Amino acid sequence: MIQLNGLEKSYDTAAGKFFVLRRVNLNIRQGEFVTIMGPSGAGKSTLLSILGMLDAAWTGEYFLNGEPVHSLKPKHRMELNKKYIGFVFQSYHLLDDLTVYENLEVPLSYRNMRSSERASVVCDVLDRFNIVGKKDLFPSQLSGGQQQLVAVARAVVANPKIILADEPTGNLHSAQAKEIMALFSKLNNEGTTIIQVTHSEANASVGHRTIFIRDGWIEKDEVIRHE
Amino acid sequence: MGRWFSDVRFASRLLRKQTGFTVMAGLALALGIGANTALFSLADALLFRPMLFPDLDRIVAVGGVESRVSNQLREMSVPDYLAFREQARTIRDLSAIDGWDVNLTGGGEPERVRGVKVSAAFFRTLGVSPPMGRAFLDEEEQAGRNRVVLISNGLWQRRFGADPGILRKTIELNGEAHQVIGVVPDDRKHPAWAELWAPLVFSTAQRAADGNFYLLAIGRLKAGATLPESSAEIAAIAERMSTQYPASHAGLGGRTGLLREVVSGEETPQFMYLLMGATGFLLLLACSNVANLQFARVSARGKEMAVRSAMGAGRFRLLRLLLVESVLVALAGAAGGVLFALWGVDLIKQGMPAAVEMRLPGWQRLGVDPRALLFTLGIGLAAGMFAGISSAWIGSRDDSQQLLKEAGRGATASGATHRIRGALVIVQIVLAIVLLAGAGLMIKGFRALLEPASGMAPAQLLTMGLHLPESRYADNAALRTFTAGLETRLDNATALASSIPYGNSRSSSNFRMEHSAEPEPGNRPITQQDSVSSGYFRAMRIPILQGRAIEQRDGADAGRVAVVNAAFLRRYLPEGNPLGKRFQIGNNPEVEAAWITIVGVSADVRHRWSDRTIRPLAYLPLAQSPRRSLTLVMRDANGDPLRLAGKVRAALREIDPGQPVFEVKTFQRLIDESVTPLRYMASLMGVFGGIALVLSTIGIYGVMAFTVSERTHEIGIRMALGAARGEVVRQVVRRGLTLTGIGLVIGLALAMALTRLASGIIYGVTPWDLGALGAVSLLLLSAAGLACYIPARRAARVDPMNALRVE
Repeated sequence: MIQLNGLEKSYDTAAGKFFVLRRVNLNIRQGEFVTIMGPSGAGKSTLLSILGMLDAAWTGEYFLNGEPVHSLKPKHRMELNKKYIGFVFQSYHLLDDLTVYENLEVPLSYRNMRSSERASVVCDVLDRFNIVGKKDLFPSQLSGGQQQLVAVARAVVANPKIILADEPTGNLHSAQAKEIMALFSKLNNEGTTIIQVTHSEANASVGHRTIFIRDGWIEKDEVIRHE
Repeated sequence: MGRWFSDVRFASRLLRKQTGFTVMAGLALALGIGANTALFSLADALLFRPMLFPDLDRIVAVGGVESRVSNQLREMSVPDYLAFREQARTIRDLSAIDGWDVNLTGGGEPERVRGVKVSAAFFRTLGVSPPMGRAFLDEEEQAGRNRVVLISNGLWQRRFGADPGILRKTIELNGEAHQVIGVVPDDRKHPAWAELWAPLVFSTAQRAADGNFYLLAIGRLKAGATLPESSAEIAAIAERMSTQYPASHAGLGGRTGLLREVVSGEETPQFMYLLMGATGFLLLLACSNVANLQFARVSARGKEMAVRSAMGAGRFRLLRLLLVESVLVALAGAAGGVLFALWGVDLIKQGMPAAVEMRLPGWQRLGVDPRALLFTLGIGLAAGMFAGISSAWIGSRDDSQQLLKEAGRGATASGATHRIRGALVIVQIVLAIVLLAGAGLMIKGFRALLEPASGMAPAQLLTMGLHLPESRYADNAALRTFTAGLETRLDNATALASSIPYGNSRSSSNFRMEHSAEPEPGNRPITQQDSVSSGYFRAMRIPILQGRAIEQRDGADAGRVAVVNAAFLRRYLPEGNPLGKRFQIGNNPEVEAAWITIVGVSADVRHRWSDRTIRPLAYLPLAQSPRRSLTLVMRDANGDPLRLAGKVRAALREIDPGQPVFEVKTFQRLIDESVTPLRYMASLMGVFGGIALVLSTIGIYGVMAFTVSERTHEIGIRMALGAARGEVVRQVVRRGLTLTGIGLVIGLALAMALTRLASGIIYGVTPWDLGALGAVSLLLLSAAGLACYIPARRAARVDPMNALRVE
């Protein structure tokens, strides 16, 4: 589903070129649950941003479901983003001035879905995530775990093929983290490809494969066998 | 549509939540839009459509021009008018106009009424048919048939109680019976101040008097004729007249101008354009203010935009959301602007004295002009949208990934955003200092202009007008008897004059000094003249610098004398003792006129506030040069001079019960009315300057407050590392004052350049008036300092632990 060939990202500094990612070659199949790990500054989040098409300044090849992202114009990249990608962030990044319901509606409104259809999809997701009772609350009225739950719901509301999660449990305590990871596992079992960035070994153990990055290089690519 | 609606709903909610921003941006736009709408409405009423006559742009004024002096239309002689009427092929219905102020007597207190005598075609020229009665017939332009008159609706209501039988009545004007044949609607009057119109008849002597210039004329351009063609034709006829009458017409030309431009005069357009320029600046200032506030908001919403982008929002969708917000803010500003405009126009109307109002064509119709409102609404909307879109465009270039990463710990705006916001603050300071400098110079000039008059203690002086009609006072002897009778009945604090400062126009004549060389024709020395009674200089408190004042002994049979002003001396007798020197008034060296001896020199007194220089003036004894139109002045050093009016009226009743007085007012009021246009200018500029100060202060405050809020984290770290509170304050204030300083330098240079350009309108001060410029700079600097200090103090109160905990 995702194929990266010789992907590189660098910044020009006074001391010369500084590489954030170097010669990254990677294949991720549909339905995989991949964890990206590595020390701070290794390039994990950058890689995730490139996969989510939030970052366009890189070189190399990136194929998403056969589409050559590297040669697409920004508008087409945005189309691909809408079609395939859902995002979950460490800081939840819910829109403070929108209710839970409206937050879930936002991605659908950007996909030109009709209002009645949007309502039906949002209600369905609220139901699936057990947050119907919270639909009229604002993010500031929710706990951290509840906010991340809404953030995951928002990521899946447009039925993406891939969920990109950047340290999704970084701001949560362990019980809440477990809940979120169970949710990811469930979504993965239903066919969604999950790619998460995390420092947590426990979270990584939920996935099928762990990729270690250091100084922009892929250091290790391990398959996790579940008994 | 649904998506737009959802954007509108979200934007409204956000704007309601961010009350501070919404109120500030809406208020800024409302002030800009309101001021512009009010001013454009004023310009529309006074400049563009001062009169309601059909095809106004085909109605022209025809007159002479003194080509070597100015292009301003001036009066013409009867032979000129007759020549233009007969020979001009581009104009039809050329009608002459002559001032005709009359005493209206019978049926109540005698009253002075302002009117004009006009050619029979006059109302045809204007395209006015009185709804009540009729206009003049051509045959009424003949002696014997000319005792007919049209009256204004205002006079009909006021004097005749809207008597429906008025058309069957005769009224007594200057002691002669006239039949009322029509009533002219008040919004169809020309001149705007006129209340009476009578047919103009020329005597044989008048038809031959080439040297008497007193007529104005209006006409309609014939179909197909253009203004330049007509003007060229009139100029050609005027040239022929110069050849025909070399003595009286040397250096004279002629031209055609649009009537609406001529009635607006020279000063009104200058004032209006200056004020419109000022309001334009104000609108720019308001727009840059809103743009800056928008930038602050967009910068603060970087995280939201990045999240929306990650959720699939394209750049267009993000722009659309901000666009919707901007439109809502602009609409709120526009709604406020309408209220401000309504209030502003009302305020402008209320402040105008009735005596001045009647002289201003179009003033009565002044109201918020829908076209002006639409125009400024458009500008306001465009400005609001531009501010929103540009800030969103620049904001959307920021790296989403970076913003998402930094959002948790309070991202700061990009360098480009900082530079643009800094530049916008500088623009605001520049615009504000230009407006403040304009206001400061205008107010200072206005005060300087009024200062000399304060020495005359104008509040203690009563003034009133008198006109002695020929029908009752046939010759100079009758006039002398009247003035002598009045003077003996009133005390010695009373005086009479043909004109007083800030009052009626003065007449001017050519003259020649004894023993001087014969000047070139058309280049003769010229002086203004006033006929004054013996107590005039004492009553007016005009100092005598040399010799003596006009005295009782300067009677009709005594030797002819004059007191000249200092300007006369500077211009014509710069050296030697002027006392005893003699001059002769008159245009024709062939005619032997009496020699007039200079017996005194008086101080200069400004006659019109718009006079750039004081003109030479000769005061002649009233007994030696009697006049029909007089102003009576009477000083009451102890109380309200208006109470003296009864005493004067009683004295008048004893001499001539049918003699009215008019324009009874204090000299102070006369001055106030005379300087009304300038007072309006100074007040409006003061208001605009004040608004500019407030807007620019809000602008600086907004930027500094935002800078502090986005740097809370950094300030926290600095303070945790040992930075003193004073240091933090200094750092914040320094940035604000640096921007202010740059704006001040550019703004002062621009203000001085613009003031030089507008020096024709700004009186009494020079563009290099360092006092005024320094004062307004200090004012702006203080306001800016305060606007920086408040956020700086807030920054210094940051608790390092709290600031760092955010991370």
